[in-house]
Amino acid sequence: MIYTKKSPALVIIGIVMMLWGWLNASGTIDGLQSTLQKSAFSDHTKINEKFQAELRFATETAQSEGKPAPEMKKPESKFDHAKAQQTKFGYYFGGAFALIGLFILSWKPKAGNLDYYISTVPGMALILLISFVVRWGLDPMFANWGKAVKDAGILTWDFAKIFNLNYVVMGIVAGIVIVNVFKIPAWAANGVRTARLFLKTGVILLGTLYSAAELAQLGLLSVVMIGIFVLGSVWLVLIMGRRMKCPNTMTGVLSAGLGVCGVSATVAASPVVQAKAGEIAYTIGTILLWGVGCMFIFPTVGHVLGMGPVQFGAWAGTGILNSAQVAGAALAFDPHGIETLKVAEIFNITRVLFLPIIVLWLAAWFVKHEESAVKVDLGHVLVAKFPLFVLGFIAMFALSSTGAFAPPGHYQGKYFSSAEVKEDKLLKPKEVRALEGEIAKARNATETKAIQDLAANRKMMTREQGETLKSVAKIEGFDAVAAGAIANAQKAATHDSKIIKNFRDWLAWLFSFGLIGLGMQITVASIKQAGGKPLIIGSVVGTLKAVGSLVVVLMFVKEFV
Amino acid sequence: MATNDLNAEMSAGGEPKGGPKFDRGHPLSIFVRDRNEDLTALLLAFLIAMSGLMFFG
Repeated sequence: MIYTKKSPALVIIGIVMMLWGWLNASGTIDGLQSTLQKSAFSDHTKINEKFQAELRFATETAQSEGKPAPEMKKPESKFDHAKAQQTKFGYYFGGAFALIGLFILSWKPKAGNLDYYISTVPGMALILLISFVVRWGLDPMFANWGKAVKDAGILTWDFAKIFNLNYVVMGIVAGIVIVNVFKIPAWAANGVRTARLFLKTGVILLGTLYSAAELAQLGLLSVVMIGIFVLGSVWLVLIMGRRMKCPNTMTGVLSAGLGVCGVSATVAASPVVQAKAGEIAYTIGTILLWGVGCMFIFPTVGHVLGMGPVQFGAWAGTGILNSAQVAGAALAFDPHGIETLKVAEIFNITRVLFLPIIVLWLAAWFVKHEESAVKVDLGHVLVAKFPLFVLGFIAMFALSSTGAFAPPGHYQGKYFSSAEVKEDKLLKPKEVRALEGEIAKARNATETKAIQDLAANRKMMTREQGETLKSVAKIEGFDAVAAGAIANAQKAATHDSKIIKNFRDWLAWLFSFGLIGLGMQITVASIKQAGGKPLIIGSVVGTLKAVGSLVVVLMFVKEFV
Repeated sequence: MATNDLNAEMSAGGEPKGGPKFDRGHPLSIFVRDRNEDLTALLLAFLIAMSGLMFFG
């Protein structure tokens, strides 16, 4: 059988990509890019103005001294970087696809290896083209709209953030729309089938973002409480799914989504339990809808019960399923303070850090139950059927925890380091004076010591002092320059690992590619096939988790975590 | 001999089951069959991790 279909599609895709690269390189679409990447463009303008002023000054100085005009290199802004990346991707991928497309048109395929491999390229090119549209177009566009609607006062919340209208969700939606409206062209079929491979690669890399040390730094109460609710929810979904005779694939992916933290956990667990594309979409839909409902109900309940910021933060971080909605609910409850948001985020991070445990558990559970029809030795089945890529995920998590990619205490590549603060980022004398003038406003010995240390060293010395000073800056009547100094010192001591930043880029592309490809395998029929049972399970477990965590929070969480 | 019509597979079963229906043992199964797929994913992830360490480490 010949798999490669003769079609000019690949050449066209290649030309479109190269054209996009050229439009970026020539600056023809700078207007469009500045609209899409508003904040990056605003920084870019500032950097340009500063550079021009410095260049003018240097040239004038050189002229007055009779020297030749100096050569200065303009620093690259985020906007420049984004354009350069789009140019590079457009040229490299577009060029390669156009060449392979021409080869396909002129080649008489024969059954064999070359035919097999070449047949995947057009579909992969199609998905990559859609990824470009989603990541470079739709993602920033919706983020801008969400912000604009909020700034205009039409909504009090950012709808793009709350509904997770980012490249992950939009990639799946784009795939679903394409397959249900146009169908997958025959020339693209084999490329679309490679989606799961790239998703698995992404899941393995996901392990690099977390570290065991970060988990150890969190409060004991948050770890115990989240542990009970995460593991309890997963267990409950697994039990209910079996009782209600849901397919193991659906039950497995739903348990991760409801237990851990929504979309990313769903994506990570989906290949572990061999979930079908429709089941993944169903789970994500359930979580997002449930989360949006909670986002509105939780703050109201919190106010009715007279909960404090710590209590509400703990409840939202435990009971709401998805990260964006946790932040949304915390801000809705307490729009002006950071305490609620901080506590909610601590609980939320704790939840995410349970992901490796859940992935392992689900892998073992799935293997056991898929093989349960035939009575075999579980150990033997585990060795024979355990998904190998899960081991890759665990290995990356272990490597990340040992500090192979960033200092061991990092979270998603971000870490605190006082030693790495650069000389030019040390606090200015004016800021130090402002801080010293505010020492009297400290409310306890810890706060006094933190301010004194910061003023003496001109940089943040420990992560704990950073946390203390964040709340000091919020003291009523605290000097603005001193508060600014605290923010600057915090920023200077927080670093982002270049390696993990690079992994995050890779992850975004791999997930974007994988999810668009999976979306292209979701038909309306597959959603109908999933039926109403997962929704019932989702509602029951979601309600139990929300009510259960509320009771525990009211009983055990007082003022401090 | 297998068919290779993704749309037909999806409309028949709601979704294609278990990846492409290629002939047993053909090389593309590296991409799409259970452990082969996992091994390929591991290899890719390893290469990405190594390149990250080499260029940014």
